[in-house]
Amino acid sequence: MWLVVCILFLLESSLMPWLLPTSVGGMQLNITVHFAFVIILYVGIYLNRRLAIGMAFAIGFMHDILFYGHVLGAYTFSMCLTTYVISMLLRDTHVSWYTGLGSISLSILVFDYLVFGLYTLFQITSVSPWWYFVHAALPTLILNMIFASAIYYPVINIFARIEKFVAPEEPDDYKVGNP
Amino acid sequence: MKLFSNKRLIISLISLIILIALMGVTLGNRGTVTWPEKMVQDTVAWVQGLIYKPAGYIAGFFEDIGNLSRLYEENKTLKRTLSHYARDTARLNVLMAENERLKEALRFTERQKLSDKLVYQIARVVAVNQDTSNNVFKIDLGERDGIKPDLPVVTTDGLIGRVIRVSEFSSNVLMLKDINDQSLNSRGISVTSLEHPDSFGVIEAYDHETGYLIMSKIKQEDPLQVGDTIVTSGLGEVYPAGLIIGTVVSRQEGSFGITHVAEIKPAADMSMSGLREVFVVQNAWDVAEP
Repeated sequence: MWLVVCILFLLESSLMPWLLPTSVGGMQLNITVHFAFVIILYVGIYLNRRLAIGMAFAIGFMHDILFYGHVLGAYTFSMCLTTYVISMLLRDTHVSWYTGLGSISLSILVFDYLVFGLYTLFQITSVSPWWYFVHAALPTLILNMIFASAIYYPVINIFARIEKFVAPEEPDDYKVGNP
Repeated sequence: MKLFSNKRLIISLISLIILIALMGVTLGNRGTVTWPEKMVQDTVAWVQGLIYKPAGYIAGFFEDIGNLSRLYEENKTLKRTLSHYARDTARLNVLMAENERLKEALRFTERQKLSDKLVYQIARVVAVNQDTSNNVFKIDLGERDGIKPDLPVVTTDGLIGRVIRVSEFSSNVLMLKDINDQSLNSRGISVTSLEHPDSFGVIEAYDHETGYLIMSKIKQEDPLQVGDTIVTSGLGEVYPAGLIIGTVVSRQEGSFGITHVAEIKPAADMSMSGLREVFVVQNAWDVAEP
């Protein structure tokens, strides 16, 4: 699981810039790829909350260090908070596919705006929120949702296998779904 | 109290405070780069480079196929430009020799002679951050190659950013479009015009909506005109003189009516796509005498 997230994280900054368009029909687009974050959200919703928060912290911090431009911790903060809130909201419930994908899309949007809000708070950016929505948040959301829906079934199958594998070891405090 | 007996709440609140404090503390330029950060930076930069470069070649191959039809036209224009170039070079050589002789006559020191000579170090891009608000990309040159913070970075078209953080084998470059007059950390670039060397202005902001740089603090009687090529003036001591930034698109009165404001179309591509090689510009004197 860690390996998959790390590989996706590396691909985000090295492979994806070559595949994504930066403008469509003369309109400038800023698509940000959050594939590692999508996996973290899947883990948080369907597998294990603590693992997800740990991964969110590690990957967010990694991103902050690697692309240190202005502040350290914007990604760490936003990723951890979003993962925590969404997995707390959906714990102890059986999550159907539309709730799962819906909450993932909501999380990505919230995450984007948390990062944007923090940068605005520290006066690093002065882009208007609406411009940010049209040119950055919305395309980002669409791309990441395509990715999330594409990997939904494989991920669920793998998680079910992991649960079967893990469950016998800790039968007491492990509930099916989200602990 | 019930509220404080909840361990989880306390822990999450404390971590919240720590993270916000971390952001506040690290805002702005920290002096030194610590060794764990350097290690992580270099290791990951190496891996990212392994993916980024081949991907770039493949993307470039497909781009080349698309460009084939345009090549003929381009070739014709280039041949025409080449003849101009030969003529200009001859003239330049004469002028340079004269300049050299005059400097000799005026007893310029070695430092003064080298200070207007620039050294371009080629660097390969290894990773790009696509975040709208944090426009950083990584290059594969670091401290070992003589890179220092605040060195300007250019593409073949023009200025694209400056080095912001340096580790042993890689460094981070902050793009020019991150410049922002409302931020405490961003600094203006003093610029002038190639056609009217007397003009003066400061590039202080970037308009994300139009994609133009904003040049302000222009005097009302300044000779700057629409269509002028904007270059760094070297007055700010950070950027050496003569780096191309862009062309003037419009000029109008500023918000207070005292000075004028011009919009500059950046010469370098600010969209961060297809970045392969960039050049780190250094003063010849700084390279010779570190």
